[in-house]
Amino acid sequence: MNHIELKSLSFHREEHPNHKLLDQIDRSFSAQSPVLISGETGSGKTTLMQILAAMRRPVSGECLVNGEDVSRWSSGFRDDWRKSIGILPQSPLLMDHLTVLENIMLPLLNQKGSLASIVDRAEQVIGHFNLKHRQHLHAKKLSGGEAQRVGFARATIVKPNFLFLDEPTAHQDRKGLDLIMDSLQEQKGVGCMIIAVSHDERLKEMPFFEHNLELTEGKLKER
Amino acid sequence: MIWHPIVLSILVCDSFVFFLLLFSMKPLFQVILHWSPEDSSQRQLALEPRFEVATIQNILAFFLFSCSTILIFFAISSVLPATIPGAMCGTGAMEAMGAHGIRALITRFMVLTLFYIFYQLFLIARSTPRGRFQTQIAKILILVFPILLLSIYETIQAFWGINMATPVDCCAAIYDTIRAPSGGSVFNIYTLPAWLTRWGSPFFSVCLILTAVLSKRRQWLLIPISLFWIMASYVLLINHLLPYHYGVLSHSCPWCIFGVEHSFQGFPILFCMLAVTWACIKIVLSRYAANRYSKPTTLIFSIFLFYAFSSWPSVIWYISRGTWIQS
Repeated sequence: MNHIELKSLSFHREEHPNHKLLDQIDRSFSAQSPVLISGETGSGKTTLMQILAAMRRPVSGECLVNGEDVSRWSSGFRDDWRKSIGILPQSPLLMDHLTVLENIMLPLLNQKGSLASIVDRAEQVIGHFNLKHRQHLHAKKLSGGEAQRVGFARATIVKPNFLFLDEPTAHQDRKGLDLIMDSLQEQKGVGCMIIAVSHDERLKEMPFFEHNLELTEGKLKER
Repeated sequence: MIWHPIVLSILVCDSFVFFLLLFSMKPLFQVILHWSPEDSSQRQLALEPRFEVATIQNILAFFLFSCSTILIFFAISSVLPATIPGAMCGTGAMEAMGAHGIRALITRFMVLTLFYIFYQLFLIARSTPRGRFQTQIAKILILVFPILLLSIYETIQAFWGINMATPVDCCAAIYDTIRAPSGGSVFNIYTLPAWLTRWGSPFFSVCLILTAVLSKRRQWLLIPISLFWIMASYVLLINHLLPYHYGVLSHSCPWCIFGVEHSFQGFPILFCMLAVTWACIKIVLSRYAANRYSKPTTLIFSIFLFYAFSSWPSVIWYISRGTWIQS
């Protein structure tokens, strides 16, 4: 069972040592209970997400992913571990010069499997997110909501064990939100651990997220 | 100076190695001064990928330097003798190069061995998630740099010193002089007792295998024993086994075996000799790896291959003629 444990986790920027973005956080999360973290702008939500995804290293304390402090692993092992996680950053960071299909295929290119099977899998995911008519369009021509859905599709195509989502429903209308929630339900069903960071009030009302946490003054509190 | 394409290839290869090592020096010094794997400071986070790049650069340098060393052996044994008057094999080329030739080869093997130690530590560091030995890797690579400079300097001097106008002696003349009891050096390996030259190498082979298989605590002994094994095997080779390859009663040239006339057999023999030392280094360092101990298979296999490559003509000689060359 995938799980994450935060032990006395603290973080501050080097230039502001007195302003603690994360302050001695102790908490554990499991795959059965998806987590939604909200908080004011600049409260440290994205930083926490980056630490969870081993993209940053805590100043003190530990972030144990299935019992291992991945952020302190050497880069080769961190790279291998990242193949088993899905990350959706705040801005989806698509490759503008590649098409939607090519962007979604990217995480599978360094894994086993023929190109034809990768294309098949990407087309399935594209169909699921209602982007079939956009699949040969360059990413720079997508709207904000479509780009976010492409980013989400790219994060889930690897069938991740952990899914870290930063504002997954940004720019989404009701239909887009439903597509994303369907996909999250599917991921939860296969044992994927989901942690999302969002301002979206609609997500806070979703029963899907069993833990609804708020990050204020460096502490995680249940809402 | 001789401007043969193979010489230019060696110098180009060496130049690449020099620049690869030079450009990795700054992050390597920073690793020695500031490495702190648990730290989350910007300096440490920036240093980690730079160190990664520096190690990859040095793996490439190791590969290129190995290629240029093989090219040097090929140039000395097969290319230069055709252009140097009087030279018939690598011995003539080495004579034309003077003392710089042997110094270039010795420093090259020192660099290759240090590169190999670095590579083994790199593999061990990669075998565990919390990599270790970063500072040790940095120190070894910094140590490689001055020896590499010396090696490149000696290589250039060796090629520069070749005088095409002055003829050199052929190997038979040179080794006949050295083999004379009065003509050799203080440690004349050609006049040592036959039992010592014949059984030294097998004795050290048994020592190596027993130490590798039986001893877990004193495996460091493999390194000095392997050096003795190399010397003993070289003596065995030139005193007893090479005459069978050459098909003459007495010929001790270590370079003719690298030539096309003998199907470049010197290369696999030399490689096996190096492989024995490198297998010993690997066994000694493997105690720090995640799986703790390395099996001595490579060591035993290298020793076996060395004897197979070097002694098969003597076995055929004995089967076909019913007697050995020397009693």
